[in-house]
Amino acid sequence: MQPIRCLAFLILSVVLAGCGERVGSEPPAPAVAKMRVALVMKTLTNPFFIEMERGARKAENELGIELIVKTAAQETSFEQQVVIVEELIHNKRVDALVIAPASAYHLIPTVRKARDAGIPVVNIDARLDATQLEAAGLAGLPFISVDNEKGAYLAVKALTEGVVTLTNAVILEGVRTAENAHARKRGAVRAFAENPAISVLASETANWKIDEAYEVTEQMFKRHPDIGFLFAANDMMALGALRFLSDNGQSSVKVAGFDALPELRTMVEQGKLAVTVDQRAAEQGYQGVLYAVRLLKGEKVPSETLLDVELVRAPK
Amino acid sequence: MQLNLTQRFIAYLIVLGILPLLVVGFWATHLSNQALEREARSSAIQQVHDKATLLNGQMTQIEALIANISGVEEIIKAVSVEPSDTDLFTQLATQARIGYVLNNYINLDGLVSIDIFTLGGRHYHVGDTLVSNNLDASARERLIDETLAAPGRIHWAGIQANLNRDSAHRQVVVVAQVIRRFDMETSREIPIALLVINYDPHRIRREFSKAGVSDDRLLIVLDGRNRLVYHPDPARLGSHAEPDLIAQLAEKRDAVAVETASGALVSQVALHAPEWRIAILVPEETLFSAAQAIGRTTTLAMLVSLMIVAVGAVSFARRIVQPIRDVAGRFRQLRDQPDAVLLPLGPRGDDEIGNLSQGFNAFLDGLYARRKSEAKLRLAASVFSHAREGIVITDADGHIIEVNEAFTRITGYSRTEVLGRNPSILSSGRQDRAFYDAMWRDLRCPGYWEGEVWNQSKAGHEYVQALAIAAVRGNDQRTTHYVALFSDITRQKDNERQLRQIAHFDSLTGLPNRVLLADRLAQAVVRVRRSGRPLALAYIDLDGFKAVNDVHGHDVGDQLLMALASRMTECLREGDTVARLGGDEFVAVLADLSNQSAARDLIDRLLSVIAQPVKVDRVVVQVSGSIGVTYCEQKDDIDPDQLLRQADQAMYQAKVAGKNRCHIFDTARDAILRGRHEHLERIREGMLKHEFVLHYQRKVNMRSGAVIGAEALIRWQHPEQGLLAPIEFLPTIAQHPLEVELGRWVIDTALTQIEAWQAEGIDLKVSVNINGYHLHRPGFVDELQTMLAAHPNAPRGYLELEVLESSALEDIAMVSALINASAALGVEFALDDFGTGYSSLTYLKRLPAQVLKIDQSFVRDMLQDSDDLAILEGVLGMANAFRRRAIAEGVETVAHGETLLRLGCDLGQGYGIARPMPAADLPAWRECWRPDPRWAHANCLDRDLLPVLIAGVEHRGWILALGEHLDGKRDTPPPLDPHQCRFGNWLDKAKHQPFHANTIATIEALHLQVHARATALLECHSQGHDTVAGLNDLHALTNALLSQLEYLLRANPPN
Repeated sequence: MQPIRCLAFLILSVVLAGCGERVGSEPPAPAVAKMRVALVMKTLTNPFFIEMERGARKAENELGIELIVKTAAQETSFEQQVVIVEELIHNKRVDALVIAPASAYHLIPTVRKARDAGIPVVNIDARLDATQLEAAGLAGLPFISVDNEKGAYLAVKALTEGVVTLTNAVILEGVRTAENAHARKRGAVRAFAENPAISVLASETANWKIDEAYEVTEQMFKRHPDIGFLFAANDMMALGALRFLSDNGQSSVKVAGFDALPELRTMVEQGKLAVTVDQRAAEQGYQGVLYAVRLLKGEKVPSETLLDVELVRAPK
Repeated sequence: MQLNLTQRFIAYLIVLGILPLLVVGFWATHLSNQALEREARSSAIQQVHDKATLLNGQMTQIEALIANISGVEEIIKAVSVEPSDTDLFTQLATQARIGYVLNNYINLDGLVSIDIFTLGGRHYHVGDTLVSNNLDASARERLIDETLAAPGRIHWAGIQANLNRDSAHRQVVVVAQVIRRFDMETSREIPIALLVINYDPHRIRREFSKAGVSDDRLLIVLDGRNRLVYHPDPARLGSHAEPDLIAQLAEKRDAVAVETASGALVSQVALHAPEWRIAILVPEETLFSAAQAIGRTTTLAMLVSLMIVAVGAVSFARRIVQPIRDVAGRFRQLRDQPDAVLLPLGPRGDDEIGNLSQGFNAFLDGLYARRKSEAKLRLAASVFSHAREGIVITDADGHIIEVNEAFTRITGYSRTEVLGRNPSILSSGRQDRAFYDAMWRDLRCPGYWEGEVWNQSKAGHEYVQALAIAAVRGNDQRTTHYVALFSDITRQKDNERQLRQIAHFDSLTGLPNRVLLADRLAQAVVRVRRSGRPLALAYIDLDGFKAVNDVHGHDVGDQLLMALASRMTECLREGDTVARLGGDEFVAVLADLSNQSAARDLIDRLLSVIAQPVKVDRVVVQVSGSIGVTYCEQKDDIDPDQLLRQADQAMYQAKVAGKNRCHIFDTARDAILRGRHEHLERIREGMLKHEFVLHYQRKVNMRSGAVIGAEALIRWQHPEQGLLAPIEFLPTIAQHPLEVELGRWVIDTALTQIEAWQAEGIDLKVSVNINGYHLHRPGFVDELQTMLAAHPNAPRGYLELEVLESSALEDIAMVSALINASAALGVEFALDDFGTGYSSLTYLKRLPAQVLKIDQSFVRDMLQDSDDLAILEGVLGMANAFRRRAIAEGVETVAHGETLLRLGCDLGQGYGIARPMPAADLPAWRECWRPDPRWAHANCLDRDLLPVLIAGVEHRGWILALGEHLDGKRDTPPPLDPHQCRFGNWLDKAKHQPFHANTIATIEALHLQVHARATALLECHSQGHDTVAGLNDLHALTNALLSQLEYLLRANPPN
């Protein structure tokens, strides 16, 4: 009986093999995948970030990777940033992340998620809170930025240089949950305090925004008409403040900004803006992408990289 | 045509299996072809509709987005204001405001960017990149113009290059709409800006790939300008479709599914955007590929089926047809060659075919067995008819049922005459009833009988036959037949009898020959052991028979022998055997004698009958006999051959003693001779086996302690008896050549030992004892020279020969010549046991031996026997006079040595110095031995002091004699008068000499006391009292006396 059974099996298997044959063919082979790095920034309305993207694009070209640029709408839209980053992680759209966070705190759980998904993260521009990073097991997350306090300090020093007559000053702060906003305020306050002729009358936040700065400046001048110096924690706010001052003929007020946007550089040259700080947005973007790629290749990168700030001021 | 089984099987398989399969396969292929083509068409239509629906949905979304954005009041407001180039704040603030709004729309999947171009030249941008200042201005202007000119509000510009050159998305699908402001004044809508949506064509790709179209079909999407918005090859995106493709599509526009001229199936649908189309092209070969695959599969299945059929056929052929063919072939072979030997078939398993093979093998086995048994039967029949033995087969009742030809030849009865009759017709009547009863008993059990039977032939003469009968039993163990084999052995019987006669009897005289004699003698010896009655064996040799033969010829000699043979037989008792050994030698065995002397009469009778004259023809001849007799008693353990030899020896003695007499063999003498002979043989064997060894006894200068040599002494290391002294074997070989051989061995071994010692640095002379027999052999010196030459490492002068004084004196002239010749070879001679012979001074003068060895008997007794001491002194004096060295043998104690030294004999050997020892022990002895210290003070005595020494010996001898008397060993006591004893004599003389008067006086007093005490002791003894205490006192006194004498000896001599 056995040979007959074997024969039956043989015939059956041949027939089945014939039926199983597909008329179609293999799916197309995927193209060689490039590394994909996402640059997530705060807003699309600040030319500072355009500069930052430029630097990142340069790295994209040099390294032969694919760069995805994402921004929230406004400087304060950290929740939107969280959504953007989580969407990137969730859809596995990227291999690495370079983030300029809108908040020192709110993005940390998201960064943790990225790390858990095997996606390395580089923090640029504004620093994530070190204590909470450590609590989330993310101590040593690579960070690239400038010394914001030093920049602010140097800018205010330049602003108040040689002032001996009693003068009032105000400060426009950035988003208060942002670490760099804090640092710049500290630097400015310290520099102002070092000149005994100067008193800081107010320090309000305009959340980095140009239009909000216009309004906050307006209110501060209403309350304190006699103001000689204004330090804005970024150029956009400085621009908003300057607009208010020029709209109200307060041309004697000397304003300092931060970021050295190309448009603001022109204003410094024209003498409209006393001083601004070049925090090298393009370089930050460039280095951020570079670090991300190095992390993807399994290399080590420094946990903190501070770029030198540069004062932009009118020639004497 | 005749097909074989395999071919038929294959044919069946093809007709029944393959042909229907072919038909079904062909039909199935045809049907599935049609079905698949239908399926391909409908699926193409379905796919194109599906994709169109998908794409239309996306388009609708984009249009909705455009409609939404263009209606946002804030945007219309923002773009209505055209800030000046210098108004950076307004620029940035407007940018921010628009950005905040647009950012809300950017999340549409596939959206690359949203741009707003104001007609005043401002540009607001959100999307994949922030960087947007590198714009293709002319393209922008073109787009604005196109859009303004477009018929609908929304302008689907199609796929084109991205205006923003900085964007990573080079190709985008552009959709634009003009933003208009309602001018209150004119109540007209005034265009203020262009809203542009850039959509990612790859998004369409991704969407399509989710529900993919198989590669063999071409899916394309064309925009209004026939540019490829979708194509499977991403590189083709944005390019124009091939003109012929466009022509094909144009040909059948809006057709759902048509076949083109090229045979391809085309299915196309218009899309939502004007002039846009989606189309799917199915090439002809794709259309039919599935059907072709089925065709291939069917063909393959067919081939496989064929293969299976082939395999099945082969297997069928191998497993079923081949075994059948094998069986058939073998049967055919058997038919053609009935005697062929065929190999059995190999094992085929346990199925029907296996059973067939096994069956055939069993058949084959049966066939072979039958052939074998047939052959056996033929053989048996042939044996039966051709056998030399007569064969009778009867039934169980004894009726003959078959006989063979030999039966007829032997018995004379033909086959027909005996069939049905009983074999008893052959009976001669010689055997009695009991014989036949026994035969039948055996035939019943064990069923076999064998023996000799006298039968009678038909002609009536009797013959003896060797008959063997066997009962043949059936399976039930009952006898069915008897088979009898017989042969006529009458002639054989006669021959046997003749042969026996020739073998055991002398043909001339008819007397038993040597063979029968040996037999009878052996029996007689056994009888002696059993009965205890002795046997005499007489060996008879005729004296003068040769002369009879020589003078009268052999015939006469033969007749004489015959006559004497019968006479001798007649004169002996019945039961005695006279045998002829050959020639004129006879042996008589006289057994069963009452004693030895009883034989004597018989012997004398034999001598007498032999010596009587015999008349042969006309001649009268007379011989005599020499007879050697030996006896065999019960106690003798002797074999017949030995008896015969002894009798022969005795006969020889009788011949020697003068013939015509008898000599009795002397058993005792024979035993002695035989013993010595055996001992000699044993000694010879011992020599061959190297059982003899030399021990060495040291000879020393007792005064200086120097070892002057060693005497080699032979020992026999007997394997059973241990170490034997020379007395055990030398007497046996005395005067025998073996003695010379042993002497040579000793010299050779001694020389070897000298060499060995020399090699070890031991400088020692060795002396060897030579017996007279050896010494007197001619050529002794030459022999000695040869042996010395064979040992070149033995220094000259190291071998010394010792010869007994008595031997030397046998032939003084010869011995002295020998001594001189040996001296020339450096070999010195010593006269051994000197003093025991009868040497006279003259002899000593003539014997040039350099050394005199004083016999140990003198030395041993010199301390008690003053005569021996005197001889010793005399010998020493003689040696001194003839300037020979003297050496004392038998130095057994220190006292011996001391006395010898005092007598001036410095050289000595004996147990007191060293026992003989193996050569190996000698070096150790040499290391350890030191002369006794007393010897160092034993100066040679002045001749005047000799009497003192002798006196001491006298006294000791006296005391010894007294002791012996007391022990009963001596009849008379020594002289008890103090002046009668020899010591007393000396003392009396000594008193009168001016010589240590005080000491002498003391000695005298002691001597008197000794005698007095001795007298008392004897009295005591005679009265039967105990004498031990008295004797002890006496010894004490004697010792005191002897110590006084010792004082005198050590003191200065008198004068």
